[in-house]
Amino acid sequence: MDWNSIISNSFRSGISQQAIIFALAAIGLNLHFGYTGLLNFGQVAFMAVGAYGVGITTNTLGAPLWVGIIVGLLAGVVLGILLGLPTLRLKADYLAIVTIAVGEIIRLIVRAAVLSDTTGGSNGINGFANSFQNWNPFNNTGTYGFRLFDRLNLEFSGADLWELTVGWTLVLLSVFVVWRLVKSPWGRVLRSIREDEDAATALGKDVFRFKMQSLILGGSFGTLAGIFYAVQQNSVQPDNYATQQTFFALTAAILGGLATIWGPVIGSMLFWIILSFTENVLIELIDNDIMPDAIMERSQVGPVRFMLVGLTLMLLMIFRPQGIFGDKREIAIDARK
Amino acid sequence: MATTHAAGRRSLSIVGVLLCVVGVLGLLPSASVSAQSGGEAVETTLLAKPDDGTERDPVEGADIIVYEAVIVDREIESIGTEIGRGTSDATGFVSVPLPGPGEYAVELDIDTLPEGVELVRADKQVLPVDARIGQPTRVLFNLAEGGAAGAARDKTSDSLLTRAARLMFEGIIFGLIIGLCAIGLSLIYGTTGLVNFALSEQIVFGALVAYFFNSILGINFVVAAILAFFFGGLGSAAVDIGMWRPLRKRGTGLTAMMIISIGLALFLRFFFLFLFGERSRPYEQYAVQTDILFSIGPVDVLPKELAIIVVGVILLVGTAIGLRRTKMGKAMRAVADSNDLAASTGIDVDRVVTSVWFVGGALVSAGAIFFGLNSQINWLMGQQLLLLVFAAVTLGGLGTDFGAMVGGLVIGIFTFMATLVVAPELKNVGALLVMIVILLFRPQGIFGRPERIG
Repeated sequence: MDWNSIISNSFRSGISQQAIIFALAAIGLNLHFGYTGLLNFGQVAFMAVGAYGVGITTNTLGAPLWVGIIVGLLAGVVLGILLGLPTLRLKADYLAIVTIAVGEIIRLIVRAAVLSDTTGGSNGINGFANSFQNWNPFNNTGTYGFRLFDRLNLEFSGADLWELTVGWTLVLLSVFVVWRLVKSPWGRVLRSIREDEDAATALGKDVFRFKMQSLILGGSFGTLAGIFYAVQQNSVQPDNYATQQTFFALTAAILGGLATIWGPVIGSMLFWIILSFTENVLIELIDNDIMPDAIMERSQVGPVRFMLVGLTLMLLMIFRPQGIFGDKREIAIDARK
Repeated sequence: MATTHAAGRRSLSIVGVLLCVVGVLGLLPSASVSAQSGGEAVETTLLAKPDDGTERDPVEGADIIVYEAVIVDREIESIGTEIGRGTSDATGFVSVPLPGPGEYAVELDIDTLPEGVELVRADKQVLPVDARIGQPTRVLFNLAEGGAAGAARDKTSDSLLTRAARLMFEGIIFGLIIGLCAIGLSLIYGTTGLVNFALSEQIVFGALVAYFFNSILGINFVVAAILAFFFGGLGSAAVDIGMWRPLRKRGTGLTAMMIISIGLALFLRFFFLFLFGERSRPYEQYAVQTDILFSIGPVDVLPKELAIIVVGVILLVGTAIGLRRTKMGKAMRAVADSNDLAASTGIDVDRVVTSVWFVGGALVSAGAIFFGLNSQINWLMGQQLLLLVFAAVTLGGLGTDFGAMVGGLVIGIFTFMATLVVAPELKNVGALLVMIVILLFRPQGIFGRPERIG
């Protein structure tokens, strides 16, 4: 068993680009569900709209990358309005079902062969964000970092370092925005809507407007996650935007703690550390013939780690819905019957 | 505090239930255990339908060519390099060995067909092949001689009305499948208020149990299907007793339960992937039926299709009658109306809810078995149906049995008829859009009562 590489890989996953994407998506879900009590099961729709907004604008229409990023963000706002208009006046379940359906509709449309001139069909769009690496102040081909005590591998390529710097800056900015907002009067209205919508209405608050603002803003963090994903990969693949991505991000948010500032970020880091740790340990066990092939083969490691995600989500909701940092009284799950 | 702890311990029995599920399914071979490579091939027997409508004649000396391909939803997405070719013998049989399991495309070289023999449908000259491990995969080219080809072609590739009739028929079958699943979802929502996202895995469970009995133990498909129907009910009832009941006792909110059902769905979905692998597989029996039972105008009815329709209608009508006439059915409706009122009239609410899970799980399994019979079984089949079932239930009205059936049929027919105007890959989009429009204008659904939207 190569514990050095297991621990290095797990640690690196915790700060990886994937963790950044999940953290951004989870920050949005936290604003929706944690602070406002909105059940958005289609965060992946916002991600897809952001990613394809960039991809289509730059690749198909030939615009520069920064224009694509703005178009992606605007597309997310439009999606929020379209989603919110029919559903925000209805019961929470309906928003959940409509958002999950819209996520699937978007995925089916962008992967359709009939639209492949625009969206690339099931192949997606590739190679539209080269200019992102042109802005890289680090040496693209160089290596930065060090090995801690010759064990923990903290060496990153220049390209990776640039992506991680941009990504974590975005996460910190998002956390700052959410922190300022939820401490403001606006944030208190959101929480009052979560606790008792009728009471908020009785106090003269336009509940629909606040819910809409929360949906759009939280969705924008999802859009940002999609844009970062697309730009960092230099590619958009339709099947990366399947419905379960939303639930993975939700698991991360609940793990860290809903209705907390840092919960979604820590949750996403832990989510990837746990996934990577499980994967690496299982692979080591299989490669060293400790795990017999009759029980598990390498190809079955992937499913096992996602089984673990499902189990984590279940057990968290049953035994510790407030996650690691949350406050049980702040979780909008028992009030709603 | 004491009660909370007791409830907490009770919900630990979830683990027990999951282990039971693991126990039942543990008997399935994992994809890898049964993996022996070699022996993969594409086979076909080329037979042409003669003018006089008697037995089909073998076609000798025709070539088939096999290519690498990418297949999505049983449609060829792209074709790669040639793998090999073969020529049919005196019995019309031809086999081309493959390098391994995977996705291929088979083309019939029409220039090599004997004089007078034609391919009935020009668009079926290249067929997708999803080659399974260690066994030959059969494909079928529909050939006819002279006039018979014209007659057959009239039947298959033409008028809008003919195509519509056929899509309507397929849509009805699909609608019954969705209706069965929708009534399972709707019954559970009606009595417990839970929007059960693990429905998709109830579907896969039913189909896999039938696969286990039929394809692995070799039990006759009809018996296997009946067994799977009951196991589907038992599995759902066991999850209710082991998990949902303790959670209800504890006063867990509905939103929390909905998220727990998502966690359960993810866990089971990847567990089924772990056991079954990524590949789609058919049941051992009735996977390919070519003998037409009878025709209604342009629609050819296969025996298995008739069976699905008859059994599906019996199950749906039986459920509707059972809910109204039997004592348990009345109790279920009473619990759906009001838990507390039902309990105060002496109804054992827990028992009724568990029975609802049993009935719901069994009906969902029936839908799943039919779906597997009509196409194939794979670990994502529940995901393919889930949102359409939601659409059906929303259309008909959450919590109403009749609405779920009608909603299922409407969505099933709509999905298939949509392919007249949009690409097949977009057929689900229409159904999901219908759902959103219904929510916009009549959120309680067609048959639902307004107070249910809360």
